[in-house]
Amino acid sequence: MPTLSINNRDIEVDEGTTILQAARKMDIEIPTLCYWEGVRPMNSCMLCSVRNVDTGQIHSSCSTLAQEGMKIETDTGDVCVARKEVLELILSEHIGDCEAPCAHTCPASMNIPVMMREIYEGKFDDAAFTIHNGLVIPWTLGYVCPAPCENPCRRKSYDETMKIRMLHRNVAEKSLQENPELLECPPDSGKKVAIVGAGATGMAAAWVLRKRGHAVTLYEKDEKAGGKLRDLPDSKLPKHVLDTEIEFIAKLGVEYRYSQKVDEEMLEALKGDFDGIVLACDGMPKPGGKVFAAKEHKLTVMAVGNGKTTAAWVDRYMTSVDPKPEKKLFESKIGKMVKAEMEDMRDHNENLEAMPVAAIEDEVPLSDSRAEAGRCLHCDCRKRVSCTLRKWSHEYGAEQRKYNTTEEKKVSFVGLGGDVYLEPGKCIRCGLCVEIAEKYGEDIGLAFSGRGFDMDIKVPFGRSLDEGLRKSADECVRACPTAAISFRNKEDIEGCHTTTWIKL
Amino acid sequence: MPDTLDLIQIDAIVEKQGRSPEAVIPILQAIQTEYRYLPSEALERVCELTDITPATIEGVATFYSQFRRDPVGNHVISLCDGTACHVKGAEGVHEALSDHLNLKKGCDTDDEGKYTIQKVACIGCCSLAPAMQVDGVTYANVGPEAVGATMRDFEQREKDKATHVAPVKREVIENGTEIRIGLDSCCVAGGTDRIDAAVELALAGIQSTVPVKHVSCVHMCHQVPVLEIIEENKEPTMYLRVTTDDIPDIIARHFKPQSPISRLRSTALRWADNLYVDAHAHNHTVSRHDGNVRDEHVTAFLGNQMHIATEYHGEIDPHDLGEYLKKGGFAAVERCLFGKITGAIMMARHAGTSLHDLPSSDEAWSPQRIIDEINNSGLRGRGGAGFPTGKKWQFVHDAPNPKNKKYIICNGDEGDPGAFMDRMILESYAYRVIEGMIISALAVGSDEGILYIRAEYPLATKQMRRAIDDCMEVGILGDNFLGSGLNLHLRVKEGAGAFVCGEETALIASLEGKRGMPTMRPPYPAISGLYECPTLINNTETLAVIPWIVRKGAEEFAKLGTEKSKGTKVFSLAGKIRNGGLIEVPMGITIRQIVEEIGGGIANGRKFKAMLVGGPSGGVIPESMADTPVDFEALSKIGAMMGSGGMVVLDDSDCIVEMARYFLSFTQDESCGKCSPCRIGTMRLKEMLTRLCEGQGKSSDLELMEELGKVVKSQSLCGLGKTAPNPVLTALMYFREEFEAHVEGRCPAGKCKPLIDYWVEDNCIGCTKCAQVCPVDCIDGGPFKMHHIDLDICTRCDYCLVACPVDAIKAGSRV
Repeated sequence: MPTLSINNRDIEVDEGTTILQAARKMDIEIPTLCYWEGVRPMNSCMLCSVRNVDTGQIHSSCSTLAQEGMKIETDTGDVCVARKEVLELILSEHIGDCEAPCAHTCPASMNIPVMMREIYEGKFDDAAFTIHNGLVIPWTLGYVCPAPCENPCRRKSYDETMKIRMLHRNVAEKSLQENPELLECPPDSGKKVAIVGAGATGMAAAWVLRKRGHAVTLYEKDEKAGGKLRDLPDSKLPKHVLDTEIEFIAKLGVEYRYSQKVDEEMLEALKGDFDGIVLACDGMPKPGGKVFAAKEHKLTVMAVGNGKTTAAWVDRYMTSVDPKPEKKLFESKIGKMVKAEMEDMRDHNENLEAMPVAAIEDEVPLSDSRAEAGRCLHCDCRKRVSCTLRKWSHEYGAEQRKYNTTEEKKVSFVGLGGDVYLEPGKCIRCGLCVEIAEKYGEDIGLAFSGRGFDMDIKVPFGRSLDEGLRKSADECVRACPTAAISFRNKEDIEGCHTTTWIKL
Repeated sequence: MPDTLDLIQIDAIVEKQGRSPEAVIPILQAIQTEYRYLPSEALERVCELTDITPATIEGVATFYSQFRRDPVGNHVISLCDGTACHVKGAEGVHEALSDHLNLKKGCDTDDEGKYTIQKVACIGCCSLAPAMQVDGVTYANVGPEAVGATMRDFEQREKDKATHVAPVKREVIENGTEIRIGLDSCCVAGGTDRIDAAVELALAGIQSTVPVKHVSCVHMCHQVPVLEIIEENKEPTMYLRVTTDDIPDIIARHFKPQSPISRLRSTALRWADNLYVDAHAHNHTVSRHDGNVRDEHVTAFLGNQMHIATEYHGEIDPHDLGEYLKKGGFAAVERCLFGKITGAIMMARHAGTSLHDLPSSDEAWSPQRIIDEINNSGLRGRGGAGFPTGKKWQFVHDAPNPKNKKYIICNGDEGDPGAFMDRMILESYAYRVIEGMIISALAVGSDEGILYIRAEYPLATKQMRRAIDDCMEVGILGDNFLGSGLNLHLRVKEGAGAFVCGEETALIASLEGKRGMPTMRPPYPAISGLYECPTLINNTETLAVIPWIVRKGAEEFAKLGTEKSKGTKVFSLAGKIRNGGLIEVPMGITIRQIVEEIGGGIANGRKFKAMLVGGPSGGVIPESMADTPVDFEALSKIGAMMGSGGMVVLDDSDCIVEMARYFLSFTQDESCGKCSPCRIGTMRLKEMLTRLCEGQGKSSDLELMEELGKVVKSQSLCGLGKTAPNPVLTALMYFREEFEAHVEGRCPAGKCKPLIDYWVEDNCIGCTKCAQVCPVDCIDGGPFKMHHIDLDICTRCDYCLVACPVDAIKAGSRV
């Protein structure tokens, strides 16, 4: 039973324990990409390097056994620099978008690709959940939003953009009638928030905070909620649409207090009663302390986005110890894709015709929405949340474009027609999938093909990926540190080997 | 190539090679021998018949560069792209050969499907660079201009093969007089097989009974073909760089025809011959090739040398076990088994008694006694890192052995593209390597040994197999070998083309039938190696010096060399050196002594610029540091390393940046791809160096390369990655100004094509020679007019510069 010290703390571990396992026991996090419990260490990413204080040696912690008296430091300067550099090397050949162009552009950050898959599979309740969490007032936005998301759509550079706005409008219209699950909130947190201004910004903030279990009261100077949206003529936005969505938020347990103008004096009073305050209207004093401001915006979807962001701030202020703003998330980007690269993706779509844009009064059947959703190229990353490469790149501040590279950067796919597919551009060549397929005793399995820089993962004898991974696909997808091996219709979130690190 | 594959062959191959997973490489090699490539159907069939999984076969077949997945031409031309060949212009040879075969851009096979060109890492013929192999035939000194003649020669050989000329048979009497011809790969590449045939023919013509002896490497690669004539009571005569035409005269000079009739016939024939050719020329050639061990350049070359691993070089017949025994062979084994050198093995051989019946002795050395001896000698591994050999043996000796099985491995996977000493040792001193292995087996307690030899060394493999068979037959190996009561079986495994397999753990992976990817150490192979058993891996040269140490005593060995680097080291000296070849020198000799005294300085009167030591893992040592002694510590102190012993000399026409690019391109190509720092890092370094060579580099690239180089060194998994940045880091350290010049768009050595121009100076005499050789017709100006080069068309092939009789054509950076 050796005793070793990691970052100046001693721990006794069983014989045969690795440094990494010992560190994990002590809740010391050492970054890894290619480590997966249950298969031998791959020694591919070399991110888990740690320093032996006595010898000055660098050990690969996933595969070096703990020894009596060993003194290990996991985060010394040189080790961290090396980790960043190794990440930058991996990123230099990484071809993938962390965020789909549509979702990336949406000011309210709705997860559009997920919505597409849900609609396509006929899971309209799930789709409703996605769009409400994303847009808060998706039906309204279905009328008034200029749909900036549709502009960068990859499908657009192929033929016609996806009709994203039409889809969320249609699904919202159908789902708002009756969907009790949508209204579920976590248990009361005991915290109370006041929001001043019940326009799009205020409502968005209310939704987010309520969904985190806080008690929310909306103060509105007018007689009705909706702010500027109320000024729009019916030909642009039918009044019942807005009213239904305001009502829907109320059903969530948000209290509206109409005709209540909040002045400075009242604000002082609110400060005494509430744990957090969101100012979502013009002409208010400067925020500070528990008072946060959410900017109104003439673009409704921007207003929603601002409300959501500020709400997240307030939530952190009230619940977390460290309300320090998060630095901008690391993002890998492909840039422009050529048509030929998208052809492969498109070829697996059943429906190739774009849906005509309906007039305001037109009833659109859900089957049309399904067909439209079927056009989506699903160019999003299935592990936008749980990708370990993204996580560590973010943490270590790695740059993707440090090196001027020469290799051809082509977006390509293997096995798109089946359940599981492989995206070589995202692969870090760690070999976990090869190892896991072998562990399951796959008849065909996966193999490394070639060597060195050009090494790839291939299915032997030109078989399909589904044939290669008959038994082990699930574990391969979970183990893959990026989304190189993914299920076509399933994104990450649960069950991934890394903790979910981006707060949704 | 059969249209529909006859899969019966596959069944037969599997039957022969076995069905277990580790048989995969031999099976693939056999399939490739049969079909010339690996057809997919054949691989699927192998999976049906054996325990080899599709994933394994796909992985292995695509890892090793020997294996081809596509059909090839009838003959495969392997162009050596080793360091020595590279500095001697291998790139130009490739272009010329592609031209000669009319290859389309991007194609490696000609339209008729007759020839396929492939670049190979190194064929180990460095002192005779540039070299190439056509099927099994090695050709040396094949510059771009010699490509046509070489291909014609090969076609002639093919025709000769078809007509099949029977070898000359004659009676031979051993009486001390003999003719020695080197028949190792280098010598053969230099043409000694032809010389051998010519000598036999000439001797038959005069009905001479003088034996022709095929001897071990003569070391003077720059002088091959070498012929040595040993006559009783006379000084030996050595003929250097002989041609087949010279042979009749040389033979006539030393040997008289046996019968009066043949004497007469011989004289008549020679007289008739002389009617057609210039008689004086014959005498002239003889004297031109006449050499002697006492001649200055020969003594200089051999004088500073000290032969331990290469004892009896150029003298001993590598195929003759009897001669090896006569010259002290296996005496060291006797000392281990009987406590002293008894001559028992030779006596038993003479008496015709079985060596299995040799009586055992109480005085036999214990394993610990053997290890102590090696420890006392101070011997360190000759593979590159210089780990103390005795210590390694001790680890294996002491290792827990739950499976009751230990392996010994001779690492003959000499990967350094610019080194060939292991090949030479395996070809010339196979018995010595076996003797070293027997001693190591006795020391660590192993009964099974494997020699892992690169696939590019067919002669070495053949010779080793033959030597093992010889030893098995007489009882030097096998069960109860030499009556010791112990067993030792040795076998040869061929590599399949992967530099990384020189790394211990990758070598083991390869032996186990896997992709040659290294694994994390510890556990070291000494504790858990082949099939997780304790495994001793020693370099070929290390094993070859063991017998000498045990025979002469550790103290004798420790007297040689420096404080921490004992004994001698074999180097292959190549590049721009006047007298290249294989040298064995005491440790501690300086680089300058090697270059100037042994190598005779730089060829063609140019200036000594730098030496590349240790191949792609080593460093660039500038002329200013040439007084550095050759010693493990001294070399690593200046950023280089001993490596396996390749020494490639550069002159002032060689570009350091371009050399760094060459090495990085080599390591990038050979990186196994397992760990990201090496897999991607070497690529990024190569890209930056390539941009510098193309004039696209930025000054910030220099710092970036240093930064990245350090990370690749510290973070890579195995020795390949950990040393891969050495060439660029040392180059940046010692030749930074040359890098800066490239950033400014200049190549001071005039080597990097995109950075140089060609121009004609005023002393042009208008002879049109340049215009005639220009392959792209970019030189205009008629006879007696000043010529002019159109740089937009010019490919910088350098032909014009070579052709100009008055040096009017200049090349270089004019920025």
